Amino acid sequence: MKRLSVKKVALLGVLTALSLLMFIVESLLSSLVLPGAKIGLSNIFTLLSLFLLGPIEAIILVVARTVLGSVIVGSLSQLMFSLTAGLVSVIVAIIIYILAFDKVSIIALSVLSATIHNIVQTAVFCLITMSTTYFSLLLYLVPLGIIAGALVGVVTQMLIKYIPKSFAEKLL
Amino acid sequence: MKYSIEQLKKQPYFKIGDIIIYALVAIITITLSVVFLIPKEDRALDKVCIYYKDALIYEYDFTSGKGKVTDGYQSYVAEQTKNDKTLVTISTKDGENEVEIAKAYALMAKSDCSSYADCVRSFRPIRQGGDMIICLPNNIRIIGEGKVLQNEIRL
Repeated sequence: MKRLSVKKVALLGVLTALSLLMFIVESLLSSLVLPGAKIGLSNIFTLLSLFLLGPIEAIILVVARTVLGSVIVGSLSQLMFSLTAGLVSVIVAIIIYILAFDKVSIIALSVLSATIHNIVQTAVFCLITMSTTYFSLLLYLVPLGIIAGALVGVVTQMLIKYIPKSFAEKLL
Repeated sequence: MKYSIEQLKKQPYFKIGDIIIYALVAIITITLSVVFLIPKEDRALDKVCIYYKDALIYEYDFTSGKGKVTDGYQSYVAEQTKNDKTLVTISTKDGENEVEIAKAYALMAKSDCSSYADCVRSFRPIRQGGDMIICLPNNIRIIGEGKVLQNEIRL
């Protein structure tokens, strides 16, 4: 199988580890600002793995990060909404990447993905708790998600731009 | 479908299709503001109810300043008063939570649900009817109840 070369698996492992690290650091800091709000810096690595490795690798990264992240810093019930939201948003990113990447920039893709992540996460949370009260959180989660998504998009694009070409070619 | 490093490096910060995406996101934001900002009603905080797996186990009345444990749940709930604050400890087989109730608010003070304890750190204190704090792992739900205040300014 050409897909799973040793280099690719190693790179995916490194990206997953970095993503998980960001996820943990962020969840320790996030609640100081606003309940439930996170920048989602771990998604820089999700996007990198989507662009550098491919859609399936990006899904593997999201699943690994949310499962391990929930085991380390959260609880299993937290996994329910972070996993569904993470998967839905990465799938949206993949669909855009496959169908419309020649017309959509990395930043816009990241913004849309972040917005969908917030909406799905809040919807799942309301479904689990059977209450609509926290749906109003979206009022500030969505605008914050747009800013965070844009930030993640810019950082991802910068990283891709400034990785030395020779280094990137050796990696892939 | 894969782009080479060179193609990725040359990606511009803006492409024409972005307009559609930004418009879509803007529509979502505007819809949310319309839905959630207009019908904003203030509610008083008359009571705080604590539920364990959908069963009401404890009730605190702010007008009388007294709490009541539902019959049959006495072994789950321990109540103590400390300088104007009522501390309610709930021990179930799912875990232990401590709820702090004072003059105009209620909050989750402690929980052993996870190292992160979302219910303690992320939820804001209950200050009006309709507010709630949920601890999913321990199946505990704290809900504020109260009448809708019409034409009144809540201070």
